[in-house]
Amino acid sequence: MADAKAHVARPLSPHLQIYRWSWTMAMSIFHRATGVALYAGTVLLAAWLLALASGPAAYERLAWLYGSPVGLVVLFGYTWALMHHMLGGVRHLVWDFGHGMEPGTRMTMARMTLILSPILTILIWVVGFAMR
Amino acid sequence: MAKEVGQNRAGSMRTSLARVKGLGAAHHGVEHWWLHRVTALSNIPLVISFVIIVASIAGRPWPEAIRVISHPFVALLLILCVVSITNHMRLGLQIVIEDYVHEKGLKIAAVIANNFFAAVIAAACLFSILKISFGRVPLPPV
Repeated sequence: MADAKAHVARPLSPHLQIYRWSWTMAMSIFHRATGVALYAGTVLLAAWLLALASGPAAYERLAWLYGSPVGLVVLFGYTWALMHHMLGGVRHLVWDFGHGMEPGTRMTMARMTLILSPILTILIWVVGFAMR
Repeated sequence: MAKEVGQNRAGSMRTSLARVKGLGAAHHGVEHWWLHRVTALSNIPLVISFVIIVASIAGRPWPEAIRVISHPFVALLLILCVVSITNHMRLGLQIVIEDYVHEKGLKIAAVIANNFFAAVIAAACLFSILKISFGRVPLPPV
C-alpha cells in the first residue's frame, strides 16, 4: 500500500508558505503555538502544587525560582499565552457555531485577540502586584 | 430486512446500522472534536478562577498559600480546572501530532506519550490539591 502510494504523484494542497498572510491565518497559527506552549507549561503548575504539598522548604525554593527575573519573565509569558489562547478559543467557538464569518468581522475578531491579550495580561499582573 | 440494507437512501452505500450509529468512516464520530469544544467552554470560567486564585497566592508565604488552597471551594475549583485543562490539552496536542507526524509508528508513540503526559500532570496536580485540602500538610498554628 505504502509503495503503491509513493509512485503516484498526487496533487497536494499547498502548505502555509504559498498563502498571503492574513490576520485570521496568523492568529490561527499563534493559537496553536500558544496551545503547545501552555501544554508544556503545565509542568510549572504541577511543580508549584507539588512543592506546596511537600512543605515550606520545597515551596520556598520554588518560590525563589519563580520569583527570579527569568521566572517572572516565563510566568508573564505564560499568562500572555493563556490569555491569548483563551480569547482565541472564544473566537473559534463563535466561528464553530457559524457566526462572525463575514470578511470584515472575522479580521476584526482576529485583531482583537492580539490587542486584548496583552491588555488582560498586564491587568492581571498589575492587580496581582497590587494585592501584595 | 436484508433487502433494505444499502437502500436506505438513494445512492448511499451505507447500511442502516451505520446510519443509526452515525459515527462515520473512522468509527469515532465527533467525540474528539466535541469533547475539545466542551472542555474549551468549561476552561473559560475555570481558568479565570485559576488566575484569580494564583494571583491571590503569588508572593505569599507558604502557610497563607496552604490556607487558601485548603478551602473546599478553592480546592474544588482547582480540581475542576485541572481535569478540564489536562483533557483539553491532551485532545489539542493529539491534533497537532496527527497534523505534523506522518510516520505511523512515531505518530502512535507520540499520541501515547501525549496521553501519558496529560495523565501524569493531572495526577500530580490532583494529588497535591487533595493532600493540601485534606489537611495532610502540617500547618503551624494561627
